[in-house]
Amino acid sequence: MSEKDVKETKSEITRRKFFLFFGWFGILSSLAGSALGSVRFMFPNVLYEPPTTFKIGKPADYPPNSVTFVQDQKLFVVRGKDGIEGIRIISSVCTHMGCTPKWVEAKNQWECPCHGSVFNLKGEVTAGPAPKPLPWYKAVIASDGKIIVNSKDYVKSDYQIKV
Amino acid sequence: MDKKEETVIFPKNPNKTYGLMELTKTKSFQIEKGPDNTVTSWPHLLFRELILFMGVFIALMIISMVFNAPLEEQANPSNTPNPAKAPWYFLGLQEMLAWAHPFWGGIFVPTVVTIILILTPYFDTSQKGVGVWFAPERRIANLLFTIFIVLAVGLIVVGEFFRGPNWQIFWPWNMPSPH
Amino acid sequence: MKMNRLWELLTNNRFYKSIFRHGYPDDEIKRSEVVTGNLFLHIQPVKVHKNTIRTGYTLGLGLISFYLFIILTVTGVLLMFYYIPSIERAYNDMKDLEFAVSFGIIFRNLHRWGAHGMVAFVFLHMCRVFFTGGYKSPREFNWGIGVILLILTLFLSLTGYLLPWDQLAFWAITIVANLIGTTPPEKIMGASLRQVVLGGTIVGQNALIRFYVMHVVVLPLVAAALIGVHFWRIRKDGGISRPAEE
Repeated sequence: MSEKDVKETKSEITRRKFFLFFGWFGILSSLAGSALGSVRFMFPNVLYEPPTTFKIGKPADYPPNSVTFVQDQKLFVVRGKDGIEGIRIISSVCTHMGCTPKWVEAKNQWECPCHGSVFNLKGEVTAGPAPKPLPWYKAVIASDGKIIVNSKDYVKSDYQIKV
Repeated sequence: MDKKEETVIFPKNPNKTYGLMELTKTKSFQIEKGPDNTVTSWPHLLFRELILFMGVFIALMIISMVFNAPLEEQANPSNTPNPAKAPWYFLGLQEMLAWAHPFWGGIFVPTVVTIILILTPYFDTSQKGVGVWFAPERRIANLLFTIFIVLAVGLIVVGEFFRGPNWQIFWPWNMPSPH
Repeated sequence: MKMNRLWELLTNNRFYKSIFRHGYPDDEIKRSEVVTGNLFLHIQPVKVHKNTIRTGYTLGLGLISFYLFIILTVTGVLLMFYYIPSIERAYNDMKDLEFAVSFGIIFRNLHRWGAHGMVAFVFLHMCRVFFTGGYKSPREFNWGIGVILLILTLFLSLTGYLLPWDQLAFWAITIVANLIGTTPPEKIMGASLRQVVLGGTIVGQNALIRFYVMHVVVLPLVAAALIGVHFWRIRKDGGISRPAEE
């Protein structure tokens, strides 16, 4: 390469280079656009999933001083435990990997079978790898006397429905 | 073309058993070559491959006729089996999941191990001991890799044989039966 | 004598000779034509180093992995004729394969045990390559391809054992999805990754069809392509590793 050539490649934008640049730009940007579109395609806009607000029967269905597993909605109904008389609703989805912890009456705690996490009556983690406590759901009594639970609305562990 | 010029244009790759023939004015390109260390693929290689395939197929067929593939109960979102164990090849991962925040055991460690494995040849560049099982010149590399294998297999063994209900440690002979 | 005449009858005609354009490979030229003239064999060289066929060196581990991949592809395609990826039907289809379809249980067993075997043999193959120093220059890149193939094998197994929609499948998807959901930053990256894997927020129909498509189309295609590269690089890197020659 002579000195003159080097100079040219550095400074001048020839017609050939201009078209080359836009050619590559066009090819690469259309590829990138298609890739982005494909990624967006993988996120569905409409989901056919069960509602997050639902009814779980009347307070009378849950006897005092008990923990009842409601399997369809993945939650426990706690009544009259931990010195709180009313009804409280806690998630039955382990905060670690999503398994279902079992209520162990003898020890007054929930134990998860997958990786051994243990939750106490407040929902707090007392053993195992779970990073967060089990969430308590907000619930109210509807006009027909049934309990309405909102599983998107978290409350503190002393939130209760007075019975 | 003289010899020097030739090697510049067509550099020799000592690792190849064959390649672009040299340009030469002699009668045959075999001249001045040592004894050949190669054999024809047919039949030496291909028949061994065929026999190996028959072996693999027969062994797999016998296993498949004697043992049935596992099929558990139908999926039940409200009841987690206790313990819920993955197949053996993921038990090392599951074991690590039980230790710390799941990101570290489940994503970070496997990703780092993969990257280290892929990059190993770019760090270990010495050419000594290639092509020999457990070459003494490669003692340190082999030792490190052996440690890796022992850890990986060890975690799997712990997960498979020493973990029971609630992912608690049990001796294999004390393992409570499921349910 | 009779066999010779039968052979003659079968091979000495235009039809046979249009397929196999050489005679029985009993000299070097015909032996090379066997390999170069055949699409499936020509990925291999005409001549190989003696070390390549030493059973005690390779133990055939890589080839066993490849054979299992072939067996898995064939049995997998067969299973697809009876399996429907629907959360209502998948489990019943598995039961049908076991009890109602002729040889269904054999093909399912071959597929499942073959998969277990492939994981084991790919791992053993990696150990063999390491302990013989086979990953060293000029084979660094091919070692990397091999590591990726091991990961792909694991992903194929994972997506595969989710399909029967039994307890193992359901809780494995649950754990995998939540595990992916912990990728930091959790609220942005983890949550959207989890959504892509499940096709929603819960483990259900959308998740099953995603794992199914990955298992029967995406991952096998990628694996097959990389296996092709893997084999190609063996040749381009000068055959299977061997001791330096004096």
